[in-house]
Amino acid sequence: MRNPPELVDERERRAIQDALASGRQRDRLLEILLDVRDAKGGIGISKSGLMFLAEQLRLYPAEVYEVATTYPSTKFVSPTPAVEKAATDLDSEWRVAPAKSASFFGGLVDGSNGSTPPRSLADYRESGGYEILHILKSDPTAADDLMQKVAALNLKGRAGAGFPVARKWKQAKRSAGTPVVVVNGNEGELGVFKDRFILENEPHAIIEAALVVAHVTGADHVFIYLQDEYKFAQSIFAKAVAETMQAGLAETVTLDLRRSGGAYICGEETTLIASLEGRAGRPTERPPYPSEMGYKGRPTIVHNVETFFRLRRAWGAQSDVEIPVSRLLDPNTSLFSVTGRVRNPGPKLMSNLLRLVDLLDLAGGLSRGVELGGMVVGGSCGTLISAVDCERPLPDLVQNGLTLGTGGVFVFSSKDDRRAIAFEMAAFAARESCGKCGPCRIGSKKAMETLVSNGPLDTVLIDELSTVMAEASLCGLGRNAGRFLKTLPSYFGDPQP
Amino acid sequence: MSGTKRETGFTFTIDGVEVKAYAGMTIMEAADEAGVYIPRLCDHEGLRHQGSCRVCTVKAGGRSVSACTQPAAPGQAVENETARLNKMRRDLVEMLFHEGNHLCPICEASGNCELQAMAYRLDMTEATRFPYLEPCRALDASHPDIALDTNRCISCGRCIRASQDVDGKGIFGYVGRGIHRRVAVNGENLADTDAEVSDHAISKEVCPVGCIIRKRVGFVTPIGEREFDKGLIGHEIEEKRK
Repeated sequence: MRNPPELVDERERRAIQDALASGRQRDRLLEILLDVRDAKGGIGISKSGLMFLAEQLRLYPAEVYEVATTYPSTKFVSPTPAVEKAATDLDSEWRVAPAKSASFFGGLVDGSNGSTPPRSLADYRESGGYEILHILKSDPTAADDLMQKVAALNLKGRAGAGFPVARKWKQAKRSAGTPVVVVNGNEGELGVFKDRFILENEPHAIIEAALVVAHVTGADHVFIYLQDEYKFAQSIFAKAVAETMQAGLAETVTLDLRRSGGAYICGEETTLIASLEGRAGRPTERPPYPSEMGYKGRPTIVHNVETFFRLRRAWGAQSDVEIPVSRLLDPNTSLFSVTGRVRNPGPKLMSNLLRLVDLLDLAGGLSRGVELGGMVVGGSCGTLISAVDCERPLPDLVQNGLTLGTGGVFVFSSKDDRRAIAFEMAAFAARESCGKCGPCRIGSKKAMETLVSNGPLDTVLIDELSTVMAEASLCGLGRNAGRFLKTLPSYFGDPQP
Repeated sequence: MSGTKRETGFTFTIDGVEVKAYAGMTIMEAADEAGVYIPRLCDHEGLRHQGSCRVCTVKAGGRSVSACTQPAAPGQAVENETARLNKMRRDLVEMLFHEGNHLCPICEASGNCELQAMAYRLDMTEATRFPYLEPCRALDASHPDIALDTNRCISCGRCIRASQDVDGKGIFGYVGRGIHRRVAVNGENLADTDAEVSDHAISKEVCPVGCIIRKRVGFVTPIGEREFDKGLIGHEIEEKRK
């Protein structure tokens, strides 16, 4: 920079220096930006502050700028050059989208979900919690036995892809370097808040499971990566982590609480790892797989919150009528996030052998005066299920290709505009696209524009876009958005063959 | 991969043609050596692979992967020049045309432009069917020897990698997310940076389109005698097989 940098506001300079006091490593860059934001009362770092920070961290301003602009949670507002302002009509639809989402997929985003307070460490230990760690430490064969048990139970990841848990562990153990364990608590799917329900109720179940995985795989570092908006869960975990360390339960392992970059893509493993390293929030191509080479080149085991919770079955954790969420230890129980035209939206535990209409009972029934139009199951890349099919047993639907995904269920009425619902889903992909690869960056924008226009739907264009996105996108976000577009005709009343 | 030890060779096929590879090679690296051209825009010799334009998407083991990042595997059957893949690549290239402002007839890169050349190779012979986004983007002529016309940028990031990894400068970087993701310079404008016309990042071969412009040399080579006037993009690689 040849021009003298603009002066940083004194208050902001102090906020930056305070944030730097807890560590000046590059990998803390996102945390630093979030600390500055919080110190400024929710307002993101200024441009001059960013220049000052770059100088302090000895990074190119462009590098810091890149990181600040890829994570929405930094609240950094990039000053728009005058010439670009003329292009804002390009953006008009983007502004509509979030307002619309609130009405459709409105659910529980902030504050407490009204559940009982989280189980304390004392209560958790009383019912046998953390005993497995003692067993693992005293019996040298226990780790291998546990790994075999996990493989035998065929426990799978619960973030959507269903990758076998034991296989990730084996890959990590085989690879060079000390492994790292990551609790992925960045659920950001449209209208999904199931992990939040677990986090706010049973923090010690998650910490215990993460420490077990660390022990079995030889990891010395556990990151607990929580969605930036989940302030309540963050405070619960800050306390629970401190208690765990005080009780001497994590002597050989560092427990590290981190906040996410506020984007859906941050839940994608390679992007999550990039944010832990203080790099821009974008996925990278695999291989290498994170379980072989992830955080700082070390093998990195990432599981989502529900996966950790369900793991406890492998060491005999039992469900307890007093603790509703513990029903998840039963593989036939699913945790659904119910939103839309129901009286009592929220997280609902239900046997996945029942019917979708049974979820309505758990959600207090349909809203007043509403006739069921159908449900969208599986979040932003979800499947539209007609009112008639909601009466069929779930296993039937699954056999016919329905994937429950992250268990998002959006209930709509017979009067809701299906095109508007489809628009919401397409808009989600466009809003959440990181912009790295062309098919997702341009395709999602194009799909959204096509749906927002009033004319008849250009089905040929939609079909071409969906093929490009589903097959050529770099990561699951664009690929799934493309698969959703393929199902679009079903959103317009024509029964899908 | 000239530095790789070559004792662990193996073969795989691309569209039925047997190709030799060595451990650690990507599908594209092996294909290039064997004289099989796989279309690409963001990948460039000597720069680290990024896998973002997706034009090099091939089918390997039933999966769609980017050939520039996917390691070659022994015995694998890779599909490259199929009608389906080329259609998808053409759609991808059309989408890039539609994202920016690419007015070939008035662009000094015409004939040397990889985007234009790729469109010809993939038979994109008429205006794109996708409606244009027509963004309004900045022109930066602040630097005495270099100009940037970001209307023509396709966000391939070759200049970013060249500047960071080859020049050791970091003059360019990405900013923003989604459709707003752009290549930007490390300062208010290019004159504010340490950019020099002798940088690798500024050289003719790094920017595939007409975004990075070296002043006063644009029309030194007349139209008709330019790089892709001599043959389709990729012909030099394909000629290795003949």
